[in-house]
Amino acid sequence: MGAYKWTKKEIIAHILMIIVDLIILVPIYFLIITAFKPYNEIIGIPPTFWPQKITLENFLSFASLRGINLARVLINSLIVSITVTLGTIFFSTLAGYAFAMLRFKFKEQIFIAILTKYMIPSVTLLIPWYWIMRTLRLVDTLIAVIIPNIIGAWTIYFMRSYISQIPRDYVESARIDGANELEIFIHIIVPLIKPAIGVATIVNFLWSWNYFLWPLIILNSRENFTMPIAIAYIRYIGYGSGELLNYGGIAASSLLYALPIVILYTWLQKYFIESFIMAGIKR
Amino acid sequence: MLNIFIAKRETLVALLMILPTLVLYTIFYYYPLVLSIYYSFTRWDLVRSPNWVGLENYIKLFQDRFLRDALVVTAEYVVAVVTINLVLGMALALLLNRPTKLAALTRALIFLPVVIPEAAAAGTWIIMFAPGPYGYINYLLTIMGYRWLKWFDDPSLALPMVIMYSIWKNVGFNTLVFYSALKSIPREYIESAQVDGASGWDISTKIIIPLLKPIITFLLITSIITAWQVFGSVYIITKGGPGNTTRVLGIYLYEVAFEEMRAGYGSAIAVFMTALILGLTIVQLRKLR
Repeated sequence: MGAYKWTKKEIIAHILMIIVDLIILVPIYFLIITAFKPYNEIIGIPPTFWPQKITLENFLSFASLRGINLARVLINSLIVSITVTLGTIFFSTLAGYAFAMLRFKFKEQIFIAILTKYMIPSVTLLIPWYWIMRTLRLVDTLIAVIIPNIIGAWTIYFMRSYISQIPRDYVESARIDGANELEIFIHIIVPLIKPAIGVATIVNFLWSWNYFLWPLIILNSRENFTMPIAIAYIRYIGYGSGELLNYGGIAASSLLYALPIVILYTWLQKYFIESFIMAGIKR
Repeated sequence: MLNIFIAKRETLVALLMILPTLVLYTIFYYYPLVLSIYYSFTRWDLVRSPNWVGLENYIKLFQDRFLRDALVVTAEYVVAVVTINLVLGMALALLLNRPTKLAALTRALIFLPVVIPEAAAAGTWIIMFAPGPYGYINYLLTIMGYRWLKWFDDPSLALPMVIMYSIWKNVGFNTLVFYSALKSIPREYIESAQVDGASGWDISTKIIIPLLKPIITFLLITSIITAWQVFGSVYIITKGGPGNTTRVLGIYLYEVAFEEMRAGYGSAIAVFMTALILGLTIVQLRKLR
C-alpha cells in the first residue's frame, strides 16, 4: 500500500472517483434534506441546501402524505417481505433438499418444469392472478400480495446446488444410525447450509421489498398499501391538475422506505454484493 | 427387501418435501399460464365472464399504433440502457480496480443505488429534478446562467432522463460483476504484457475484454431481458408521459389490462411480450452452452 505510485494518471483516476461518489451521493443528500423541510421551504426560491427549519411534518402530516399513515404502510411492507422471505426459504429449502439428495421418479423433469418459471416474465401471470384473487375474495389484502410470490424458482435452484455439494455420506451414515429424514434435514442439512440461507434471505427480502406491479394491481385502499404503492400514490394524487407535487411526502416516504435497506447494506455490505451477484439479479 | 423399503420411503419423503412447492406452482404458475393464453383469445373486462373472440386480439396486435409506439420507446430504452450500462460498467470497473482506500469506498458506494429500493430511488430523482425554479438542479442551472428545464415533464427530455436514472441506479451492478471478474484474471497475464511494453489501452482491449467475453455476453442478455420488462421506475417517474414519450411496453400493458379493463387484449400483449423474452432466453442458453 505504502509503495503506491501517485503518477499524474493515478491522480486523475482518483479525481474521477470523487466525481462518481458525488453523483451517487448528491441525489440522496437532496432527498434527505427535503424530507425534513417544511412545505414553504421546499417550494421556496432559491432552494435551501440545508433545512432552515427542521420539521417532521412530512412524515406525520395527513395533508403532506395524502391521508397515508406511513407507520401502517411500513408495517405492511415488513409483513409482506418477512412472510414471503420465510415462506420462500422454507418451501424452497425442502424442495432443494429433495432435488439434491433424494431419489425419486421424474426428478429431472419436475425440476426443469419448476425452473421454466425463471424464464417467463411475471406480467404474463398477473391477469390470471387477479382473477384467482377475485374468486377467492382476496382483492385488496396483503395475503393476495404474499401467497403467489412464495414460489421461488431461483431459491429452489440455488438451494439444490448448494445442498448437492454436501457429501452424501453425511446423510447415509445418519440414516444407518437410525435418524429419520426429518431429523437428517433439521440436524444435519440446515446447520450446513446456513450461509446459503443467509444469501437467500437477503435476495428474497430485497426482491419482495421491491414488489411493485402486483401490489399496485391488487391493493386499492390506503391502509393496505405497501411502501412503493404509497410513494406512487403520493406522487400522483392531484397530478395533472396544475397542483405542485408533494415533494415533502415523496421525500419522507422514500427515505423511510430506503432506510432499512441502507442500514442493512452498510452493516452487511460484503454479503449483499455477493448475494446480488449470485442471484444474477432482478426479476 | 430393505432396499425397496428405503427407496419407497425416500420417494414418499421427497414427495412430501416438494408437495407445497408443486401445489403453489400449479395454482400460481401453470394454471395462470394456461389461463393467460385462453384469455388472449377472449374479450374480457376482468369482471363479467370472458367472451371467446378467436384471433381478434392477435390481429389487433398488428394494427395497434400505440403498441407500435410502445415497442419503439421500449427498444430505444433497452438499447440505450444496456449499452451505456455495459460500457460504463466496464470503464468504472477498470477505474476502481486500484488498491487505494478511495477506490474501495467508491466500490461500496457505487452499489448503494443498486440496493436502494426502486421506488425510493425514483423518488430521489423526482425531487432532485423538480420541474420548477425551486428544483435543486434547476436552481444550479439558473445560477450558472442557463434557463431552468421541466425535465421529466418535457416530452423531449423525459425518455433520456428515465434512461439516465436507470444508469445511475444500475451501473454499479455491472461494475462490481466486472470488477470481481477482473480480480480473477491471473496477474501474470497483465504483468507479462506490461513487460512486453503494452499500453494500458492495449491491455484493456486485447487482454482483459476478450477474457471477460463470457461475462459480457451473460450481462448483455440478462440486462436486455430485465430492461424489456421495465415498469416500476417509469411508472413512478413519468407514468409513461408526457404524452406517450416514455410509455414502455410494461406501462402500456398495465394501462390496457387494468385501467381500460381490456384484459383479453392485455393478455394477448402479455403473451406476445413473453414470446419475445422467451426467444431471448433461448438465445442466451445457446450462447452460454
